[in-house]
Amino acid sequence: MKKRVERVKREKERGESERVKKKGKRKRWKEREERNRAEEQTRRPPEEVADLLGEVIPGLDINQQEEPGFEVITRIDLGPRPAVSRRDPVSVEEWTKHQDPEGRVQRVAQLKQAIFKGGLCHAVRKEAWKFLLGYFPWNSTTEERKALQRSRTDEYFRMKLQWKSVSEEQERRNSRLRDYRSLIEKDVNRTDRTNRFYEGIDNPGLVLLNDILMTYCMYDFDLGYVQGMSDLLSPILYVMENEVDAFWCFAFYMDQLHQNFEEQMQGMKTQLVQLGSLLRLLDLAFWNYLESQDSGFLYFCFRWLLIRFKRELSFQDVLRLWEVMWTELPCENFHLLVCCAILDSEKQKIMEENYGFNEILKCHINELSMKLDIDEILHKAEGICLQIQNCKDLPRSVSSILGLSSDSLLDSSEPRRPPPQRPDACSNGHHGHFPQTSASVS
Amino acid sequence: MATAPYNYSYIFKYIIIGDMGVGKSCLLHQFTEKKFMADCPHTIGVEFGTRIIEVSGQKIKLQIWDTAGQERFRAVTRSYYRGAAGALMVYDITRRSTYNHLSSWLTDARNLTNPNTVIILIGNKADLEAQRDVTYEEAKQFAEENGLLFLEASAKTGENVEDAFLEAAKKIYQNIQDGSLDLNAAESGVQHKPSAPQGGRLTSEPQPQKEGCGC
Repeated sequence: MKKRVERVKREKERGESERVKKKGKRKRWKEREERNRAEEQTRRPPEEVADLLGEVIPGLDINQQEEPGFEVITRIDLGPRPAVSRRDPVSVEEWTKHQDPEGRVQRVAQLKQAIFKGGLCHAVRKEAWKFLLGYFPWNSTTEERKALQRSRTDEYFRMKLQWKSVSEEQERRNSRLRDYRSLIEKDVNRTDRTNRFYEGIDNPGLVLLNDILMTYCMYDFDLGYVQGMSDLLSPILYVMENEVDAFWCFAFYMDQLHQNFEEQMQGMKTQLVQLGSLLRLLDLAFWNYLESQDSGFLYFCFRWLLIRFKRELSFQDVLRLWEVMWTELPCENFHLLVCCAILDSEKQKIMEENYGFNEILKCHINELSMKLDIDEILHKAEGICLQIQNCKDLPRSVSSILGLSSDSLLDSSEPRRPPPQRPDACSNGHHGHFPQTSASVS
Repeated sequence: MATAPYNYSYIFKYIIIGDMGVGKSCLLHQFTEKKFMADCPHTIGVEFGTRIIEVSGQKIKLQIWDTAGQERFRAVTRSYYRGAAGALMVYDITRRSTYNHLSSWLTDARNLTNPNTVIILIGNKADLEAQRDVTYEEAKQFAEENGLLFLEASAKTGENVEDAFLEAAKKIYQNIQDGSLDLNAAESGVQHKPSAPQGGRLTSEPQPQKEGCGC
């Protein structure tokens, strides 16, 4: 293992643009595999080996096998990381200025850019989050939104009544509902209990959390309740201070993150593979180090991705980070670059101190929780995005993860001009596909 | 790296497994902080705790990995089992379903750790006698049939919590003494920390110190 790291270091010394023949890499990979296998067999029962290599997270090995069609692995010169500037949060006045007399939001792209660059003042959040999450169409009038809210309110209470009206006897014969109820009850009682909004016994906030999550089970019975959802709902309810609005905002957020929670956890697997590709591009030596420490599966990022850094940052910083990510700027999957930014600050220490699997996970990932600086992370993540966008010979795999087309490269080089609304920036949510009238959502 | 003296001679890695809501994190919290935390946040992925204990005059640092219990996350939590010297397999004596799932937890524990890993079965919430759903006797029998240590405990009152962690440590230490646990095996889950480093693996471990992570 150590040899491999040294070799990578040597390669790095030979020059940034040196090409490594894939054949050689594949051979080394094979050798390493064989060596690993030999080691594994001496220290672990064979069932475990099979498990770790395949079953644990099937599909995760894709990023170690290279996609077909790639002949040469190029060490890509990413060039310097551009400095970025951030701005103050969008104020109430600024937000209001973007509305026409009927309440339609004007110059959406420019507004989103402002939110991406500075977030929102807390007073704006209650309204702005509904747009960012896709609950309110940007081009809707105030009247249309009122109508929308009315129909959404009816829909919510119809679903709420469904679980509320299940008798004890019925529930005895409905194990799934019973399970959801007990899971939710358990987790609600241990979600953000140090936050004033949820602290103390019989806090009304807890009842709301419970009811919204139960109603979500009716909204999506197949998915039901999975741990982590209460973490996602809590900040939304805190901002909305309204059961119905919080439910719909949560439901729209869940649409984005649905795959994270599904039975096969496909969303998690895909993201971990994608993150691996990005890390490999950004710093091959660090990536190789992680692999040499059996950490190439990036399990230590699991919590970050599952609940979008909710447990890593202070409550207020979570609000900031989420609204920035909901703008879907400056590229797709920006949250993966947020992971890269956090790791970028840690990698030096991880490699210098020669941390292994346990230490990486425990000391430098799990215990980072609440010690992170949101502004530094956002600066860095955006810088990394620009750095990647400026790169001329970007692997197709990476540009597709970040949704970079030749058009978007132009946007990035002129950050002052508000980027046009690109259809590809709206691929994984409801944003962008706004119905012309509220009729289609009622 | 300086050869700063360690204030313990061994590190044992433990994992805590079992269904969601059985009190895994509360047991850990009670053990490390000597406090019951009713609203302890549910674990996403994995959490950690450490405490130094003493067995036969030897200071041992327990490095405890507390895993998420929901079935859906097993694919990920399974990756944390490797290299565990001890496993605390927890069920809730007031919820039979958590007891019924033990065989599946045991399968994972056996398959993903080494043959010498000490597994202790813990029936938590022993303070809730009135709501008991699993008898002591049947759990005891299950433990015997499967060669597990067994205790009923309460994270709330603290009853037997200390013992649960200690019993496992004693057994592991005994395995070291009688030679059945090979310290040089990479996945033994035990690291020896003599004052003078010996063996490749030891020197590469981060040293515990005031600054840094103290893991």
